[in-house]
Amino acid sequence: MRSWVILFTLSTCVLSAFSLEATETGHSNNWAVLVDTSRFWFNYRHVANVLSIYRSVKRLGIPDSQIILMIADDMACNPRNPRPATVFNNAKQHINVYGDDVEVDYRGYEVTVENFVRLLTGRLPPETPRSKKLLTDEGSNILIYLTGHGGDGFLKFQDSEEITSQELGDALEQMWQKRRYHEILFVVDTCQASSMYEKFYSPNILAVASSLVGEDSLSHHVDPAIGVYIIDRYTYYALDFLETVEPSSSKTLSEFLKVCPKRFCISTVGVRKDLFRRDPKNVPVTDFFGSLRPVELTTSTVNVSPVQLNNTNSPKKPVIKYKYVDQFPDLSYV
Amino acid sequence: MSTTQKFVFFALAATIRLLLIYSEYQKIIADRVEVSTALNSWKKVTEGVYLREAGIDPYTGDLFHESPIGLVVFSYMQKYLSLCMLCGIFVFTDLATAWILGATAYRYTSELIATEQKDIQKRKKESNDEELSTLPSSMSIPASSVTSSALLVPSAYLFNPYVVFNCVGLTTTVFTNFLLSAALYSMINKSRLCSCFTIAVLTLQGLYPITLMVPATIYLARNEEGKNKNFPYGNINKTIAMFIGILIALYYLSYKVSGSWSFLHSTIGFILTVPDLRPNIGLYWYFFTEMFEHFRWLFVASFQINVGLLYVAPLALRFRRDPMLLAFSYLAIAAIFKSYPCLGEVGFYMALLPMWKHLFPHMQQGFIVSCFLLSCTVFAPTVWHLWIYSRSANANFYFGVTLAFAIAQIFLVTDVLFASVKREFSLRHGLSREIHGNTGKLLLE
Amino acid sequence: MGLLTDPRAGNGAVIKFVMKWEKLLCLTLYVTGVIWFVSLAYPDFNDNTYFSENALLPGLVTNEFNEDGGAKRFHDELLAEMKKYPDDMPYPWLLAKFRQLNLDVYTHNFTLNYPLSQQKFTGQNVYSILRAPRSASTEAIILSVPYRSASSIHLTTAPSIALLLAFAKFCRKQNYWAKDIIFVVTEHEQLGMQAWLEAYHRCTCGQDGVLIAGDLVGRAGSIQAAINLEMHSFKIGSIDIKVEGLNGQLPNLDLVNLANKMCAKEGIRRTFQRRADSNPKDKIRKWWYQFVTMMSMVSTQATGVPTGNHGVFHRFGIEAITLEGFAKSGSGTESTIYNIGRVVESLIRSLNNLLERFHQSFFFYLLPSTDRYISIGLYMPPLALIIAGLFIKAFSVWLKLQESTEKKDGESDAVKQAKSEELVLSHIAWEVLWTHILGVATLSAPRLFTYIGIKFHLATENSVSLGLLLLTIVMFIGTLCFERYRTYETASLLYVIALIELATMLLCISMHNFSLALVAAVVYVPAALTVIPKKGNESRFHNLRCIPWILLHPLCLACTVVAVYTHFTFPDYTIIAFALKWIQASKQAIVFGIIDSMVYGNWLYSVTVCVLLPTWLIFWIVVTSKPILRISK
Repeated sequence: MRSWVILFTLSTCVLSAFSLEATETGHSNNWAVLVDTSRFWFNYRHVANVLSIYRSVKRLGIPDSQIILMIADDMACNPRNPRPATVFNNAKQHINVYGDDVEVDYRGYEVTVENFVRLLTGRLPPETPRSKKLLTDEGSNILIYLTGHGGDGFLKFQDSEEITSQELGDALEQMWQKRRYHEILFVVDTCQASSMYEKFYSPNILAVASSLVGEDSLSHHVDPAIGVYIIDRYTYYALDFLETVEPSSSKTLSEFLKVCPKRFCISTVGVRKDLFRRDPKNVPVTDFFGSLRPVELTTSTVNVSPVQLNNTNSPKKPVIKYKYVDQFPDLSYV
Repeated sequence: MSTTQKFVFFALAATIRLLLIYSEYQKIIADRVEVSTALNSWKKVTEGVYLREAGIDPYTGDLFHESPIGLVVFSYMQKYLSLCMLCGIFVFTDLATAWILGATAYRYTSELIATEQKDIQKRKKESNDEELSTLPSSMSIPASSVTSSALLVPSAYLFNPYVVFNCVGLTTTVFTNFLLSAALYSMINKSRLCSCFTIAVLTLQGLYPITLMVPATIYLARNEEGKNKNFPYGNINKTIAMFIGILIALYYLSYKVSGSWSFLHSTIGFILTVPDLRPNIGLYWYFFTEMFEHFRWLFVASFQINVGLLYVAPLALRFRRDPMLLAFSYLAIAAIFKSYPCLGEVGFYMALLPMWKHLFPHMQQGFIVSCFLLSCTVFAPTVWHLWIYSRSANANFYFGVTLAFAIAQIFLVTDVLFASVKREFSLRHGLSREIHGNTGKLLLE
Repeated sequence: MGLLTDPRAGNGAVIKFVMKWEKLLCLTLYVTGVIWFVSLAYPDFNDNTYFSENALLPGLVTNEFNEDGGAKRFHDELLAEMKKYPDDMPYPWLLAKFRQLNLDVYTHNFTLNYPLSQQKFTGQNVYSILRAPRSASTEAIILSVPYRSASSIHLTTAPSIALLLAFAKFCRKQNYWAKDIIFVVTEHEQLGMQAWLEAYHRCTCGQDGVLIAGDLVGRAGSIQAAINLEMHSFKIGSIDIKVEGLNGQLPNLDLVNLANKMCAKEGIRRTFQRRADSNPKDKIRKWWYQFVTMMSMVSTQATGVPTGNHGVFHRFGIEAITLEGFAKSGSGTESTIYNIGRVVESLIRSLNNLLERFHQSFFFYLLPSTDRYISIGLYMPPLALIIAGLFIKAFSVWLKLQESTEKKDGESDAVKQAKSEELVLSHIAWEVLWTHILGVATLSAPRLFTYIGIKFHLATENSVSLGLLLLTIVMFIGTLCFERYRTYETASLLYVIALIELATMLLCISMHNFSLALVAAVVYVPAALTVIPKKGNESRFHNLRCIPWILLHPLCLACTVVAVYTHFTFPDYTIIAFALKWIQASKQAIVFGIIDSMVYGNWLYSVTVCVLLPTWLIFWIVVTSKPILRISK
C-alpha cells in the first residue's frame, strides 16, 4: 500500500514539474489560510468576515483539509449573542456562516503570532496534528486572508501582541526559500492595511489591502437584532463578487481587484502587483479561491508493477521514515 | 535644664507612641506599604514563629525572611511576653536608639570641634596667611553645638513622624535601627569587637549594612594614626578578619539553629533577587513588574550594584576624614536604593542630620527638598487610596510619588555631601571666591 | 547634575527675581488662575464628549422594550398598596411581584445606631437577581430605585418602581445577558443603599458599630455598574443626569455619555444640574450659560454629599449614575414610560457588552453642559497656578528670614544665638503640635458634646453646635490672651509652615475632590498671601488684617455658606425669620456633616477639623502675634 502512495506522489511530482514548464498557471494544489486576529464581542464582524471567506472558498472547491482557519474568539457561543450557535454576515440573516461543517483549526488563545508564523514557515513540532499544518509544496497556490485591528506596519493579535509587516515579509520569504508555495494571493482587511504588504520582497505574491496607509477600514452595517457591526465593507463587497463566481467560471483576478471602489468602501483598496509575474487579467479567480487542478495527459505508459505484500519478509525490512526532502532555494526564479 | 528637658522629650515621645499603638490607627499604620515591607513586617514574624512552633521550616515558603537568629529571639519574645510588654519593648528600643544616637552625636561633635581647632591652629602657625586670619567666627563650630546636637539628634529621632510610624507599625526595623545606632556608637568609641559584632548582625539580617564596615575600619585605624605615620595595614587586617570571623560564626550559628542552609535563599536570596513585587517606597517593584522577563537579571544586577558597590569606593576616598558622614551617606543610599526600603530607615538617617548643623548654611536645596518630602509623604496615601479603593487612578500615580520621594532624598544627600566639601574648601581658602579678580564658583565634578 | 551642584542656585537670578517681585508674582498667579478657570466654560476651551470604550457599542440594538402596559398595571397596584401602608414599604407586594417573574428575591435588614444619641433605626431593602442564562455569575449590573413612602417629603419614585418591575419582566424573557442583573429597591434613601453595598462587600465604611449592615443571602459577581432611577411621574418632561458622588467622586465619563446619548436617541429632553442645554449663537452668552452650569456642578461636588443613591457606589469602584425624571413643566415634548424603558434597556444592554470595568475615559472632569467636558488636564493648571503662589510666598519669606539671620550673625555672639535658635525651634514645634492635637481632639469632640448636652436636656443639634461655638470662642480668646513671647523669626517660620501645609492640603484635596480644593483655594489663598508677620513697627491699621481671618474660621465660613444658601432658597423672608432659619440650618448642616462622616465615611468634617482648623490656627497666631524684638533672659 505504502509503495502505491510513493509511486503516486512521485508521479504527481513529475507531472507538476512537467506542467510548471508547460503551462502558465502551473500550480498543482490550492490552500487557504484564513485568520481572524481579534477577540471580544465588539469584534464580531471580524469573525463574520473570516467565516464568510471560509464559506466561499469551500463552496468553490478547496477542501477543509486544505483550509487553515484561525479564529480568535467564539462569537457563536458568546453569552451576549441573542442567536446562540450562529454567526451572520448580513443584517438580513439569510446565511448562517457558522453552519454545521465549520472546522476551526486554531481557536481562541491558539491564535498567536508565533503559531501563525510557525504555520506559514512549517516550523511546527512534529506532534502537531495534520489539520494544523500547512502542508504546501512548490506547486501550491495559497490564499492568505487576514482580518483584525491593524495600524501602520502592524496587525494586532488578540489585544496582547502584534505581527509587523517586516516579520510577515520575512515569513513569506522563508516560505519561498523552502519552496512552500507557488503563488500567493494575500488579502488583508484591517485599518491601514496596505502597510502590511509594503515590506514583502518574495516573488509571486499578489497583495490586496482594504485600505491605504492613513485610512481606516470601516464596517459595512449594523445588525440591530444582534447589536453589533456585522461585517466590514471590503469583505462585504468581496463576498458580493465571490458569490457570482462558480467553480467553472472564467472571472479573472483583475475583476476581483476592482471590487469595492472608493465610493462603496470609503477607504481605497490597495493592490501590489510588482511581485506577481502574471497579468491578473489572465488569471482566473479560481486559481486562488477554487481548487481546480490542471490535468496533464501523458501518452507514454507508466508501468506500475504490482506490490508484493509478503508479510514474512516485512520484519527484515528496516522501517524507513519518510519525510519531505529538504528544500533548497531555487535561484532560477530570482 | 538639659536633663529635665531630655526627660520631658523622652516621656513625650513614649506617650505619643503608646497612645498611637493603643489607638484604632495602629492597624492602619501597620498595614501601610510604606511602613511594613516583606522584610520587616511583624505579621510575617508572627507567621514565621507560628510555623516554627508547628515544626515546619518557615523558610520553605515565600513568607518569612528574617534571619534564623532573629527568629529565635522573636519566638522567645512572642512566647514569654504579653502584648503589652511587647509594645513596651518596641517603644523602649526606640527610646534607647534615640539615647544612643544622642551620645554618638555628643561624641562626634566634640571630636569634630577639637580636630578643626587643632587644624586651624596648626595652619595658622605654618603660614601667616591673611585670608585665614580673616575667616569669620561664624565658620567655626561653636562649642555650644556639642550640647545642642546631643539634644537635637535624639529629638529628631523621637519626633520624626517616619520613625514614629515605624515604631507604631511594630516593624522589626525598630530593632535594626537600634543595632545601627549601636554600631555608630561603638564605631566612634573605637570599640573593635562591638562595632564588628553589630555590623555582622546587621549584615546577617539585611545585607546592605555591610558597607558600614568601611567607616568602622577607618575609625579603628585612626586610633594609631597619630603614633605611626605608615598606613595601618595590620590594624585594618585585624578589623576585617574579626568581622569576617564573627560573620561566619553567625552564619554557622544560624545554620545550627535552623537545621539547614535553606534560610540563605529566603534572606540573602530574597534581598538580592527581589521576587516580591508588592508596592513600597522603593524603585524596584514598578520596574520589575513592567520589565520583560529576559531582561530581569540584567536589571536586578545593575540595581544591586548601584546600591551596594557603586558609591562605596568613591565616597570612601572623598570622605575618609569624616567617617561619620561617610556612614550617613551609605545609610541614606541604602535607604533610597535598597530592594525593600521602608520609612523607618529613611527616618533613621534623617535623624542624624542635626549632627551636621554647621553644614546647613552651605546647603542650597533645603527648602525645596523639605517641601518635596512633605508633599510626597502626604500624597502617597492619597494616591494609594485613589488607585486601590476608588479605582480612578492607577499604579503610575503611586510610582510617580515614590519616584519623587526618592529624588528628593537624593537631592538631600547630595546637598549635604556637597555642603561638606564646600565648607572644607572655605576653611582652607577663606570665604572669598576670587580668582584673578573674577568671582569664581565651586562646582562638583 | 547642574541642578544639584550649581552653587549659583543659592543666590541666582531666579532667587533675586522671586525676592523682588514676590508680591506681584503671587497676585498675577492668583488672578491668572482664576481667570483661566472661569474661561474654561468658554466653548473654545472645552471639548465635545466622546466614547473611548469600544466595547460599549452604544445604541446599536433595536430596542424591544414593550412592557409599558405592564408598567402601568404595576403602577396602579403599587399606588393602591402605598395608600394602604402610607409609612412603610410594601414588602409583601414587591416580593410577590418578583416571585411571579420567577426571579430570586431576597430581603436585607439593616440597623443604624444613630451615633449622637441612643436611638436605633431599622430598614429593609428588597432585591432580586436575574441570573445570566449562558455565563458564570462573575459580574453584575445593578438597577436600583429608592423607595419613598407616601408620607415622604421627597418627590415620589413609584413610577420608577413600576418601571423597574416592568423592565425585570422584560429582561426575564431575553437570552443575551452576559452579566447578572440585580434589581434593588432600597429604603431610607442613601442609607439603605449604603447598607446594602456594605453588606454586599462585607465591609464598613464609616465608624464601627454605627451602621450595622448585616449580611446578604443572595449574591452575584462583582458589580460593574449601576443605574439608579428616580422617576417622579409616569410621563416625563425631562431627565436630569446626576453624577456627583460621596466625597466628590465622579463616575466614568463614558457612562455619563452613554446615558446622554441614549436619552437623545429616544428624543427625551436631558438636563444637567437641572439646566437644559441652550445654544445661543453669541459665544459670550453661551459661555455665561455654561459657566453657571459648571459652577453649579462645582458647588454640588464641593460639599462631598452625594446627590442621589448613585453617589455611594463610587467608593466601591462601581460606576453609577442617577436618572431623575421630572414631570413636564411648560412647553416641550413629553416622553412616556415606554421611552424611558427603552433608554434603560439600551443602557443595560451596553453595560452588558462591557468586557472589563470602565477604565478608558475620564474619572476626573467637569461638565459645562450635557455634551461637553473639561478634563483634568485642563482644569488642574489654573488651580496649580493659584496654589503655586503659596509656595512662592513661603519660599520668599524663608529666604528673607535666612538673610536677616545672616546679617545678625556678626553682631551677636554665638552662644546667645544658639540659645535663641533652640528657643525658636521649640516654640515652633510646640505651636504646631498643640494646634494639631486640638484639631484631632475636635474630631472626636461631638460625642462628648452630646454626652454633656444630654445632661442639660439639650437636643443633639444644639449641644454639638453650642460645643463647637464655645470651642471657637475659646480659640479666639485663648490665642489673644495667653500669648507667649514671639519674635519676628518665630512668626515668620510659623507662617512658612502654615503656607506649605495649606498648599499641600489643597493639592491633596484636589486629587479627590477638585471642586472643594478650588473653592477653598479661591477663598483662603488671597487671605494667606496678605498675611505679614509683624516686626513691631507697623501702623495701627495693620490689625485690620485679622478681620478676614475671623471670617475664615472654618465654623464661621460654614455658617456664611449656609447663610448664602438660605438667602437664595428663601429670598422673601424677613430679617428675623431669615436669621432664625439660618441658625437652624447652620446647626443642621454641622450635625449632618458629622453624621455623614460617621455613617458614610464622608471626610469633609475630618479634613476641615484635622487639617484646615490647625492651619487656620497657625495663621491666626501669626496674624495676631505681638512681636518682641529679642528675648530678654
